[in-house]
Amino acid sequence: MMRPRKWSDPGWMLAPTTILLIVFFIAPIGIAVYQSFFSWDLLTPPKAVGGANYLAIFKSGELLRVTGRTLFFSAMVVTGAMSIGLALALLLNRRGLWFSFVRSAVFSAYVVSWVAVALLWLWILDPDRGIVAKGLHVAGVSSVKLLNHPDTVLPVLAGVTVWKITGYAMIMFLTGLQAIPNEVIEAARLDGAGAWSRFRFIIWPMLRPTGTFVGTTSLVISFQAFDVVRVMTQGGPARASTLFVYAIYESIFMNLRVGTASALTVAFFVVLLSLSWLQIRAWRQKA
Amino acid sequence: MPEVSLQGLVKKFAQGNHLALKDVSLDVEAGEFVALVGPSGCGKSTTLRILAGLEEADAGDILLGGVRVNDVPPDQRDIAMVFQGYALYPTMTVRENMGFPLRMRKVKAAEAKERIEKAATLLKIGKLLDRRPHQLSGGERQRVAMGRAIVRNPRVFLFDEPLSNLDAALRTELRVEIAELVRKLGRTAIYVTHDQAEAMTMADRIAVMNQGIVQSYATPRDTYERPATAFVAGFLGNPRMNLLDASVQGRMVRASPFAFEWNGADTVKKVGLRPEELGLADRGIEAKVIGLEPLGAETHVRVEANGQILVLRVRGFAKHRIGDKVHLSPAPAHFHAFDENGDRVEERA
Repeated sequence: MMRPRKWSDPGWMLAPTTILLIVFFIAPIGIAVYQSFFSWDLLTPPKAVGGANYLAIFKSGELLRVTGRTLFFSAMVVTGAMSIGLALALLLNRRGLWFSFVRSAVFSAYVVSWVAVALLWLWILDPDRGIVAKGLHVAGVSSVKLLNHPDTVLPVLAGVTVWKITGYAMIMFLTGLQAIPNEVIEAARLDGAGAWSRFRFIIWPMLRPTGTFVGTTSLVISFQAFDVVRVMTQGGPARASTLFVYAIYESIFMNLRVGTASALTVAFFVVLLSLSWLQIRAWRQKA
Repeated sequence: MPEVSLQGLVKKFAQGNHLALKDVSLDVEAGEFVALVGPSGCGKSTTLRILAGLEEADAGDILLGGVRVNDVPPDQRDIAMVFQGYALYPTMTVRENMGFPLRMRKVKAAEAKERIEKAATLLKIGKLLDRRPHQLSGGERQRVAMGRAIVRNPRVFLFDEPLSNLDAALRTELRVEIAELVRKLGRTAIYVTHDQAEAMTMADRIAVMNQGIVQSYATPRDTYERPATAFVAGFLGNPRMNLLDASVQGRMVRASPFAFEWNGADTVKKVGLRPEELGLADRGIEAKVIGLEPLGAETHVRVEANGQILVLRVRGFAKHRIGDKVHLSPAPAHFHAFDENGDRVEERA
């Protein structure tokens, strides 16, 4: 085994990352945990209230509602982004200018800022001037307000999120696909495996690590959804699109309740951590 | 009727007008072991891939047992292929790898098990059945790849440089085993390699390819002793045959520094002499030693004579040193003559 010449050497090398990790991750979580035990409106001095904030978000049903909503949204985003990303990767994994163009086009959505994407879709879905409404109008359907209905708002926001991050999932799956040696696929062809068997028995098992990675990252991305909500619906109608991060934002910056927001943040952290852990474990077990 | 018959195969590659195969025709008899050799890019792997159905020929026919199979998909050609990179399925165990072609063909589990175990015993990999490919050495992986081909009991085995990723000792060991195994199974085999030793030792017949054409197709001995073209002459044999520019003058063919009696066509433009067909003597053509490659059992001696560089083979260690003057004595009957196109020219009987 390699040993450092001086005990401090590894310390120096790890320091930059450690400092960043402490300043931007560990300390904020610590502060959030600390503040979650206080009641504070940013104006008057904070008051220690013990676990009252947690009890409040739990009792009011706010935590459960927000978690449920976010889980529903995440489930749509993760399955959507993964299945469409994988399908696109399988379709576009060939040589040629045309395929390379389509790949870049699909991926380009991932590079655009969230706010720009939200604004673009807001315009597309505008009930009066948007192209969706105009198209439906021609087809005889009058004014559809997808963003103004509690039943449709979350699927629409999930659709926008999928539209944006599918390019990322596709690139990841493409990388995974390209790591599969051509010989292996050819061997499977000679062994009598048709396209579906090749996918099921050879390609998909070899893509599993990529799948785990894409699944976990899109879970995290979807859980952190904020910009689309902020720009497109502000959590409405009737809080139907108030997702977790937006709920935190709302309680701190609109309701000036730092303690409640901190309690939500801590709950958010715990939920996301356990979900990621569960997901990774599930994929490993299947492998 | 040949078991495998390739007739006038042509293959263009998409980029540029490069012809990978210009006109490849080859008949392989049932139970025959044929080696396809040639330098990289000569078309040997392309020929094999077209035969397997992994690539389509632009022209020409592929016949298996007399039946044209150009439009038959690879899995229905009853051909098994062993790849250079083994091409094992990394997520499956050895048993699953070997069983995969049987599973795809819906062979009953009990029969599949029996066939896998029989093949595993034959290949001495019985203890590895529950391992995954990444837990195996290169040689073991190649055996598993062989096993996956054997369990199918195919009509024809194709090998695409199966040993080139292995070290020299293992290569020598496995080439003997593969040849024995294929003969024991009594199957037809086509074996692509760039290693002339593999071709010479394993094959019943060798097809030497260059630039998309089969230059010669004969037994290893004929290929070596009576090479059909200057290319084949230079390709087989280590060190390479000495090829000298030549011309016919009356009843002599002159190839500096040599001149031989010649009773044949006057189209001879090249003369070839194998390193072992050149000897050192007390008298004869003067030459200077310019390089020595002692290999133990033999030494390759590079000499310069009359501006020509020649290589000759002597037994054991040479007693000469670089710079020594020596005399060359070619064995008179042992030279090969080729015309302008590189085709062999025979002497009149």
